[in-house]
Amino acid sequence: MNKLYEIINQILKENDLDTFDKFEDSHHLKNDLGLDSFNLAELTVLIEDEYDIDIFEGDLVFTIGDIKQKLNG
Amino acid sequence: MDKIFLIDKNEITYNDLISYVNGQITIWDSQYSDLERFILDTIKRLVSEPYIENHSHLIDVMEDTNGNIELKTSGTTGEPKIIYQSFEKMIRNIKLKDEDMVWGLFYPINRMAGYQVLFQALLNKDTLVNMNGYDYKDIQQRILSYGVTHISATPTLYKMILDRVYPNVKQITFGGERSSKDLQHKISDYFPNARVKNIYASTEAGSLFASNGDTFTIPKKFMDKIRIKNDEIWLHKDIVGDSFHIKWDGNWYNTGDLVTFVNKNEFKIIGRSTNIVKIGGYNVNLELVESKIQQLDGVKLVKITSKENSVLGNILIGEIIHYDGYSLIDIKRNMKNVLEKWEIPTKLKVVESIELTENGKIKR
Repeated sequence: MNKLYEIINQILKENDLDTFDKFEDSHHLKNDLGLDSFNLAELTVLIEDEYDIDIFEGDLVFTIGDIKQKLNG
Repeated sequence: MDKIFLIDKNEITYNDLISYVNGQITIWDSQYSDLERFILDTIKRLVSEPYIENHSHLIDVMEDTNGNIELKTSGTTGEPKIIYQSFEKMIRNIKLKDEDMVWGLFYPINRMAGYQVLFQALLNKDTLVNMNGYDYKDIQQRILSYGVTHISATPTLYKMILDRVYPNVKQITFGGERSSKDLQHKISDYFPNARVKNIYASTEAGSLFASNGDTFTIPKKFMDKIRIKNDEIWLHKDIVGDSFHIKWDGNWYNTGDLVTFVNKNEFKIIGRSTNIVKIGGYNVNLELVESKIQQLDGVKLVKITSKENSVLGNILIGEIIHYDGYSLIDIKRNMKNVLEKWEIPTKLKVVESIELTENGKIKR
């Protein structure tokens, strides 16, 4: 999941938000990381490029744990 | 020596043209290019008298013709449409000038914009230098070596030839795509002696209005023939060519070209209604985003498209050609200064080339 964390930190950095050394599954994408819907759209695109999965398609995804679950099928 | 009418594969003079129309010479010979044959043949077809004495006689006879010209739209957003246009309608906005002009032909000849340039040169007995089909390096060379003084092209085409300065050019005309004042200024730095014109024309109706900046007004003669409804330009049947492909709403045709008024009478053309997408609840004009990114240092050409997205409804995808010495990271950083958050492309990639239509517009 290191690649996932890299992608998230990249988006945080590009948007002048605090990056994380360690992510928790419980981290909420909006409330804890501060990502807005435009950042989340970027996240879907980068994850889709890497894993070929649209994480927001069909399911509700709120936390890091939700993304991991989606990626692990 | 007789004045040269057309420079392509050969140099064809006005005498050659008249000899061809009179049937004194033939051109069905491999030494002539397709363009040369097409142009000479089109002119011959529009001439109803058996013998033409000189250039002014040729023009008189053509003005009396009932012949229609078959035109294709560029098909930027779909299948090309076929329109039949009268010669009279096609030349209604062409001005006769004393100036000695050398026109660069950047548009394909069988499209409205190409015919406009052809007839402009023909009516004024000027020289026409073909650029269509040549690569950008050759075009740059031809503009300089043939002393081209007048260019009419899409903003996209100008962007592709801005590697050098063209002191010989006296007039540059923009058409076919959105063009802002900023862009016009940026481009005119490379044409230091040229006045800038902006033209609004359509295949369906020909050239309709022109201006020296990026705002237009509806000319008096078209007051009851051009209407702006829901920010879109509508044209009356009287000024539109014949076509089975045009969808009529009563006597009116919706061009799909969007405008925004800057005061009671003046408006800017801001793009096409088909290029508006909804992103996170905001209406975004793809052409406006392109023109904002285009202002940034290092950007040679940019294309913005949209793609469905599960979070925002749609997202923007950008393709960019940049000049040497600039990086995508810098360009991306600067975008934040000129774009709203919802206008920033979610995905941006550097490309070597961007596909254009035959007319030189960005293909969508």
